[in-house]
Amino acid sequence: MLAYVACLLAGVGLALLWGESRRLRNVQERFFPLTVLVLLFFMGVGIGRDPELGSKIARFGWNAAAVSVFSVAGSVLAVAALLGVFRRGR
Amino acid sequence: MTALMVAAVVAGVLLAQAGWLPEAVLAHAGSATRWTLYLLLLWVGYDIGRDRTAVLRVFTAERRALLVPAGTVAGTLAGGLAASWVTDLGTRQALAVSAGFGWYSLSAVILTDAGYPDLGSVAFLSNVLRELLSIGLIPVLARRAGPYVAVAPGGATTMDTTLPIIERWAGDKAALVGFLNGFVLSALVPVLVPLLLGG
Repeated sequence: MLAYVACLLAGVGLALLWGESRRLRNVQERFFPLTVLVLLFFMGVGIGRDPELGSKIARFGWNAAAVSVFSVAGSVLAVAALLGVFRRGR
Repeated sequence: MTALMVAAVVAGVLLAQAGWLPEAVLAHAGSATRWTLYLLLLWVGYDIGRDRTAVLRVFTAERRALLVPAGTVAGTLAGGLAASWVTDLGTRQALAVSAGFGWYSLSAVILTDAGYPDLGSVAFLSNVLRELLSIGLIPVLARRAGPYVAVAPGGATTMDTTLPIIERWAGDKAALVGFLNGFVLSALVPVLVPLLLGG
């Protein structure tokens, strides 16, 4: 967790020093989407290298899918409702 | 881009499952993920740092955005409760699985170590799926429901893997809220999972 904070702060520091650099912004704009795809690919490899992944999906897939779909739906609805209430309250 | 992001994850899973990747790639997938993530967080920090008023705006004009972690926790647990009605999981089990908030490695380990290996597998799959759903949903929610609502599906992952996606599709301010959200939820996972299980 500390490493994540350190990287973010290093990026902020970089912007404070060279935030106006057109070259740095070009590099960032060009490589950011590619780096996201590389990250997601390796994340997929990390999940897929589990040799028991297929049998886990067969045994526990429905329960897992139900919990994740309901959790995501619940969190989206709750955040939208909270933000809506506080927007009206201002 | 969204389709490409989902395709990148699916390609990684399928290639690894099929055994078509060199052993070195499989062995170093974890460290490759970590270092790529560090680089992305550096870029995200750079973007936030360039917009020098972003932090100030979140803590002044956009204070309601600080409610996002509370809404994410409450909504996720309500979703876990609802899931217990349509599955054969007990209420406490479904709540404990949902309290992984997308952090699949930790929640699975906690549940397995607590003597529930099957539930650990459910937590692993469920939280992996939450992360995959988030990758697809964040761009759509950012466009249709607003930047802060787009933070909700990512759960604990909004301080790492889904943060670059939030930053790209929902903007700098949402990225700040996302980091805060992920930080709070990550700290809650090791507390809530055993607590909800009744351990």
